[in-house]
Amino acid sequence: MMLTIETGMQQVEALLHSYNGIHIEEVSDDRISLKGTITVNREALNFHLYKDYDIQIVIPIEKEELPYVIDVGNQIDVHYPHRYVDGRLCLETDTHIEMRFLDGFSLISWVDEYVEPYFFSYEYYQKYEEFPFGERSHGWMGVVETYSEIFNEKDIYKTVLLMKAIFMGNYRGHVLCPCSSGLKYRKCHGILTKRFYIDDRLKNIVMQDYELLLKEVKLQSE
Amino acid sequence: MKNVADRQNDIISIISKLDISPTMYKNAEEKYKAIATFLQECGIEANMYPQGSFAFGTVVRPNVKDPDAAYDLDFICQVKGDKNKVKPSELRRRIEDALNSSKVYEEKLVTYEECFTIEYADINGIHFKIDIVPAVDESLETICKLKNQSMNPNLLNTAIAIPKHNGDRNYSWITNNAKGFREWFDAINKPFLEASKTLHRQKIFKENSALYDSVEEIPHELYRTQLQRVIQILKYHRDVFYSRFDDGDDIKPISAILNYVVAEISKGYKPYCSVFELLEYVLNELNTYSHRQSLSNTDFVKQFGNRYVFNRVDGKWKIANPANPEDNLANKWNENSRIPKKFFRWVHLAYEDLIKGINVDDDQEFRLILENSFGVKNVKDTLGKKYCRIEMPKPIIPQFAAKPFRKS
Repeated sequence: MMLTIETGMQQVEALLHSYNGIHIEEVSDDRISLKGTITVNREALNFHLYKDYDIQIVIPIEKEELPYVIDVGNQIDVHYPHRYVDGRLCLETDTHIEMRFLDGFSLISWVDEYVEPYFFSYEYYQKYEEFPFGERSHGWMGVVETYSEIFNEKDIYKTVLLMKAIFMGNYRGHVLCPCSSGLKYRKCHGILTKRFYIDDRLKNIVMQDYELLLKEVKLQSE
Repeated sequence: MKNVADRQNDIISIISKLDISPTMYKNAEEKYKAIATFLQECGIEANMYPQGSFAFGTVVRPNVKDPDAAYDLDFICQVKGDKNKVKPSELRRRIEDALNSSKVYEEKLVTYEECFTIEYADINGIHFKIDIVPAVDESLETICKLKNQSMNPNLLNTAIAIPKHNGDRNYSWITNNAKGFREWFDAINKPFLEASKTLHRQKIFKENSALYDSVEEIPHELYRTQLQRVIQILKYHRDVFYSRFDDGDDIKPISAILNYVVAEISKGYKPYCSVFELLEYVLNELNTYSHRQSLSNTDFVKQFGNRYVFNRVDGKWKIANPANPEDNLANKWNENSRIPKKFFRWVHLAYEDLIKGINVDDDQEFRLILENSFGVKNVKDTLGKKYCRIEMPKPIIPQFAAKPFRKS
């Protein structure tokens, strides 16, 4: 996931090629900063958005951190729940983005699949008072919801048990599924969770998230 | 340089395309009369007549997501009989058996809980469905009772009783007054019809000379008055708006509500107006009623006068059916608070799109407003690339799309 200055600049060049309104503002040891205007021309659910947004994109270098985007044009209402006070936009859970780019980060795909849909969701929400694609709950709940989708398990508590199972150890298909279905793991959620045991990159993501979850829950109960 | 009149005509063109064509109208007329004749031959003395939007002349293509969906044309099949002497389930069975006895109808017939549907393919490949609701005369006793409660007692003479499904194939009679409702609507539409008839006659005759030998032959049902156009524009705008919500079909205002409120508001409006003059007037009135959400009845009347089309007394919404005083068209509004909330949100957006939107300076912006109001495909099919200055948008697939989050 980590970008070096070389791989970072490669990604940036590819992005600049497709998005003419963006330019490099600053390059330093630990980040590349881009600024400019993107034109969002997207449609879904019978709604067509065509609008320009002034943004800043910050790409951390040599760090295990995801790039982020700032609403410099103040085009997102300050009260919108998915915009931080400093203008940072919360596009999705890190979990979702990290899993999408497991095989290598692509800045262009990130803008296409996360940044543009963010603005689309916002405008749609302002107009119709509903989120076109839904929204994540805040904090650790949102993270667990991401896993709920991946494991195809609606129950939040059962999802956490599945995360715990991955956190705790190795894949054992013959034991009973932690969801209490009474079925063997390999015939139940094991089908969808197996790759998380086998692929270290995926396992690391789950482990980080589960640890975070434990910390958050502990804080809350205090 | 923006051309507002042109833009208004373009919207009417889009809606015209969503209306039923004169050919389909004639076809539907032949078909339903044939069904009535057939039932007669089976020994069922029935009077079959249109109801709802088909009767009012305000039909629009029914399904936003499926452009090939069949048009739903509603009919009453009123059988001579005393409702106290025949059970609703028996009447249903009689009609069902009769239709099933014909090979022709049997294969096209679908029986639903509250109506029978016969589907036809039109000449141009567009389908339409004839939905038949069986009925008997309403009892004099009930009619008297309703007349006493009604602001328009004369309309009640045509009241009928139709089967209502109570679950488990159990039926009871419920009062309906499709004819009375139509009579009420036609009376309000009449001045608009007289005013626009001359204008439209020649145009329709020219476009449909294959169907009619002379101008006089054209049924007046094919003229769309300003009132009918306003209802059609709002109906389709409603359909596109509500298509975006999972529960859209459950919460959208039923066509009977739109037919009623628009007609009631338009009652007595200057008949020589343009479609958009009337539309603006209607939307302004509807927007005024949104204040009923936050104000008590007393405060609302104090501020806005005795406006009665939408009533809300002691928190209960009421939209009175002019032809049936016991029918509250807004009874669902009192069961689900999301319904009135979304309704007035829709009204607000309809005003923004159709009245303010017409006046935006930028043509491209206007094109977007059209697309978001009437659907990308419908706009493209009618206007091609008019007003369009940009390339096609890239779709976002909802099932895989990112969901906005917040860490803390």
